[in-house]
Amino acid sequence: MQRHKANRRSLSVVGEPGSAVSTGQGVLRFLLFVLFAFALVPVQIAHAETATSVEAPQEGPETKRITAVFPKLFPPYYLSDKDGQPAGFAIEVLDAVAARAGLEVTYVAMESWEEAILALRSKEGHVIPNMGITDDRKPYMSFTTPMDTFAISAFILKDTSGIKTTDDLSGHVVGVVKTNIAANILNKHEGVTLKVFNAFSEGYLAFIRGEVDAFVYPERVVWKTAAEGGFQDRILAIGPPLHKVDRAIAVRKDLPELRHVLDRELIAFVATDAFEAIYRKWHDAPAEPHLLDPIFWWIAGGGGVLLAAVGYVYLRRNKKYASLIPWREGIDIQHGIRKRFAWLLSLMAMSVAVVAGTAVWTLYMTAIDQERGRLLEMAQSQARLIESIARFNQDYSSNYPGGITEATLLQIREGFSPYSGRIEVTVARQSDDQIEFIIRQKASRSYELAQIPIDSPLAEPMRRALSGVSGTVIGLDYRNEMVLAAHEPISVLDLGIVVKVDLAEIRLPYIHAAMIAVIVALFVVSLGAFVFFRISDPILINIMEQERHYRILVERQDDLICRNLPDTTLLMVNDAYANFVGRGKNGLRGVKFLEFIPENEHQRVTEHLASFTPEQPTARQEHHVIQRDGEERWMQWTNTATFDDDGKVTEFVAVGRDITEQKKNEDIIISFFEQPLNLHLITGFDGIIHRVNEGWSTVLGRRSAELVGRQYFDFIHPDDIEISAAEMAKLQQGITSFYFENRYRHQDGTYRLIAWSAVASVENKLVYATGIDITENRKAEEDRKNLENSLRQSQKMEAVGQLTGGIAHDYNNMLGVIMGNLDLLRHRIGDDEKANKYLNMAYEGTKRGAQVTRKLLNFSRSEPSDLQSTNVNEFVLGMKELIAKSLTPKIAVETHLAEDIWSVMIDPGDFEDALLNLALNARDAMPDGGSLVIETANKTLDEHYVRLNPSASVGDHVAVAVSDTGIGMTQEVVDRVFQPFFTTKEVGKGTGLGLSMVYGFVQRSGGHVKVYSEPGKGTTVRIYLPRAVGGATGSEQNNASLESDLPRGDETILVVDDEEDLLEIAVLLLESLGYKTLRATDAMQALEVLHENKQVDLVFSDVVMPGDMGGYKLAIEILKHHPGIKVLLTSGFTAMREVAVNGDKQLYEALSKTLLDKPYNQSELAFAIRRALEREVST
Amino acid sequence: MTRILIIDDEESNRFTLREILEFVGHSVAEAPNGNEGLALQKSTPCDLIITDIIMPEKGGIETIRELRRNDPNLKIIAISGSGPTREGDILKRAKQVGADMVLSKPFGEAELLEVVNACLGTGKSRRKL
Repeated sequence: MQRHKANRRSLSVVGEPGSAVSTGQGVLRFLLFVLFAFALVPVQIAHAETATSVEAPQEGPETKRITAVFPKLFPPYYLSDKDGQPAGFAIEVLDAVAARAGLEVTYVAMESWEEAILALRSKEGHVIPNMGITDDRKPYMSFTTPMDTFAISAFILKDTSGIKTTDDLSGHVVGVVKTNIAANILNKHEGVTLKVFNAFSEGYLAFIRGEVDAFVYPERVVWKTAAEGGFQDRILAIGPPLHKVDRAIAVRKDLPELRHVLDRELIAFVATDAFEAIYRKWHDAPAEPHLLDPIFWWIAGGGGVLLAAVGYVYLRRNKKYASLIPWREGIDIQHGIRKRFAWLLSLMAMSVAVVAGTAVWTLYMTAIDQERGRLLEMAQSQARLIESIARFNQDYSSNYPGGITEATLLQIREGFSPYSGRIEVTVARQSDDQIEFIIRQKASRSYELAQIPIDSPLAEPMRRALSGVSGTVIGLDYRNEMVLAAHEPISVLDLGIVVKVDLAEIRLPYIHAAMIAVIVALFVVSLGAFVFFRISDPILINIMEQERHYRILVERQDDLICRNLPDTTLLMVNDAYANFVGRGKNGLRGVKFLEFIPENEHQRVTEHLASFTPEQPTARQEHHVIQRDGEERWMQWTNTATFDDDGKVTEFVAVGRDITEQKKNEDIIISFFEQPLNLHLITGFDGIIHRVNEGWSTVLGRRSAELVGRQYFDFIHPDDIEISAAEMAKLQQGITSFYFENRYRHQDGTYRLIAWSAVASVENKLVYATGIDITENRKAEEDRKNLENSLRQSQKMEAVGQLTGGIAHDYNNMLGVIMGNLDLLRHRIGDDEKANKYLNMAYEGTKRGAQVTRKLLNFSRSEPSDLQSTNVNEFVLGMKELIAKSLTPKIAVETHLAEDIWSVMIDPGDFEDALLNLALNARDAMPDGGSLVIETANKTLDEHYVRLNPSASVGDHVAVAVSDTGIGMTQEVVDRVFQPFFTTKEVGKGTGLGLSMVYGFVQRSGGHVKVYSEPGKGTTVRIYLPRAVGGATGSEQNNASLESDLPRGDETILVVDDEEDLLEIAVLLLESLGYKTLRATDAMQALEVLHENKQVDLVFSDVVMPGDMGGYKLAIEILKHHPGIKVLLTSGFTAMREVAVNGDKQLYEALSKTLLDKPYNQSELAFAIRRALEREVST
Repeated sequence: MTRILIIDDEESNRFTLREILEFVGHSVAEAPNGNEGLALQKSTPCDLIITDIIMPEKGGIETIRELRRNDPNLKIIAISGSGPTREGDILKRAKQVGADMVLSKPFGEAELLEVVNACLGTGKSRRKL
């Protein structure tokens, strides 16, 4: 290239540098080469080889300067390149030939052929590089051997009408160029109006503008010019060429030496590939590819560069894609995706290239087949034609000096005039061992009669033709070119004819087509890939990010993660898993994880894995896993199964968490929760019990199964529901309940007092409560309070006694002074009647005062003044009349005196006073009349009674009970009834010392007094006087003092009492006697229990209970609805009082008669119960 | 004429008793407490001592016990307004330590003289015994 440039500069007339464009083109091509290297490599190599052969250094003779003149525009022979430098086929050939000859050429461009010819004739120049050989030029210039031939044809514009062939030119204006042979040719056509132009450019312009009807000029020049101007589709060559002209270097006639040198070097040069390349460059290359090629390069190359640039900038600007740029650092995954993306692109490009290649190849092979047929047809027709001419000559020209063969060749040679088309026809004969080519149609070589040795690998088609074989073959021709040839023997003349086309020429359009296809495909693929990338990239990035997150999630998890087959074979584990079991991650693949589970849990684990279904693909399981150090840890696994189309598990993904510590805590919490002493309760805000602990069984006799799902209010004492609901309402607001109490029903029907503290989870709508059974504590507390009360009471009575004693002393002193002085005064007054009356009244007053102080002193007295062994019955009987007289007639007095009453050690006078006082109190309580019942009985007080009545003592007593059916008293009144001066009577009606005196008497007697009163019903005052030591006994109770002697049973007894202490004692006593017990605290509850439990044999019920239904009504209900169940009533009132009250009601009376008085001891209860059980159900 | 010593911390009581006893002819001496009573009895002995039980300085029980120790034949009547109390029956106690007779307050002239006379009579009979 460099040499060529240097050479060109030295040759240039104008002397302007002309290498810029070609260099620029080189750079462009290089860029395209970089972009589409793999597609373009073969093409570029071919170009390079061509260029190298053109620029091969030529050795030559001494340098001599010659001047070449030429018309400046006669493409492709003469034209100017973009720098104004002369260019063209003729210039390049002369350059080469001159170089070979050692000549230096100066080119001088002329405006037209005419000027060029004139310049030569006027000896301004030495040569014209290429010119048609015509006879009229021969007088003033000589020609070298022709180097090519061209046709002169007539052209019309496509829209011209009326001209179809050259014969139609008559009557039309036809443009020709001065000095061109066309003018001479057309002169012979009649009727043609010639319009002669001085230069080709003028004529061509006039033709294109339609100023002439046709234009006659060398075909190749017109086509070339039209192609460059884009007019090739608008013009048409009509008919066969008007003329064909051989072209050669024209040398001034006076320079025969120069002509000789040039001719010699031209002949030599024409035989080289360099000439062929120049020839092809300017003549042979099809117009369209030549035209499309650069455009296509620009579009494809430019587009590719643009695309790459845009893509690169885009990637650079978007940091998230930065990792996709190959030369940027990125993580492996991104690199992988990039690599795959590149592979995808390559694969797409290759696919497109293969498809395009296959298509082109198929077309090419089809074209070869068609060409083969055409060539054979042509060869055969030519051969037959030549044979027919030869046969003619045999008959008529046998005397031709060269013989028939020469005559025939002479005749046909014109027909095979040199021609620069694709197809070449050659005719040859065999001369000795040489193949001698007689005709070779390619004009540039028409002068060369090449000879090829018969055994040479060259000229294979002709060898076959000369061997008499007809057919086609692909092989080397005489030029050592690969050709498709048809060979046919010309048998008459012993010649062979070959019609052939260079394979390269057949291939050329297909190579171009393939190139275009590949480039278009690449462009489309690139564009498609770019668009695809733009669309898919966010998705890819997203997927990539997700994958990265997934990996981080899995790999950096503290939890153990694995994938495994249903048979526990591990497919994948994370680092945490591998570390946990102390094995390498890769080493674990294929290992069965059962290996890490204690053997005794294998079955449980495999059963769990077998339990998965598509409907329930996820489940949890806890089991041990053996850690690397051998320690077994509790793990909680969340397994998720995947299934195939048949619903079979294909694999599991499992996530495991170490819950050993949690388990330990759970165990602690569970054992804490389940400890049986306290009650633990989890309940919903709706009151539904969710969970209870073992404590419910021990404390309340209720199992978890019985409680869970039930309303917890169902088990609460009706009176406590309100407070419990209020606590629940507070809890529902999230307020912690630090302490509240309510009573829960035990399985046996009794209530236990529970102290609760509770917290709520508002979010879960749950209450967590802890309760303690404080029934016993409360009982003990109440006992203590009772004891304290009793103590306080006795201390109070003690203090009151001291006080009254002191007061009485002082009063007595004062009264004594008064009385004494009144007596002294009496002496002074004498017989004054009135004064004596006053004095007497004063004296009586002091006496009454003295009586009060005596009563006071009786109350405060601690020792009886006159103890005697006394039978109380006698005194009661003795007093009965007195008492009856003291009462109103509306009050009936009854006495029920026990037989064999024990003796007691008392002051009988005190007893009488006490009895009288009690009777008087009863009278005052019954203003409207009623019954006064005095009873005596032997009574043994036991420890149960004493526990409830600390002022009493265990042992045998005589009980004297005074009952009335009066107005009764409230408990508050009862509590104060023994206090001195306490009275509910009107002022003046009572001293408030009557019962105080009774109290003093009982205290002095070592006994115990108990008041039982119900407002509106009456009062019973019981005095227990200790049995005199050594007294006679004889009652059944005392005979049965040993518990083992008591009557026993195994029946079921429902005990009903509102006083829980008494209820408890009754139950204890009955159970110790072998009975089964049920409990109720009121009549309604008792009926419920009976309704639920049909096994009850006896109801042992208190008479007076809160609510509408007392013991009697309960008994009636039982008789109505449960006639088989017996009833025994008990009361704080005495049985006789009850009889007295209920005497008018038969049923009540019957019940009253069997009533067991309170208090009762174990033996009384045992006998009463037994009697009741064995009684006929006649009540 | 019988000499009677009245020992009582209450002046009104002493005055009333003196008036009644003097009215029937007895000679009466007074002492406001046991100590003075004992001293007086020592200096000028009386035939009958009427003493209250509950007194400041030296109570009736102690005084009776000392009087009886000094003179086993002395006539002693114990009087008290307390009678039987939670601490015990102090008049009963007085009898136990040596009082010949007891009299619960309040009492009238008749009761007093009856007891005094009886005592003096008993005293004679005792002496006889």
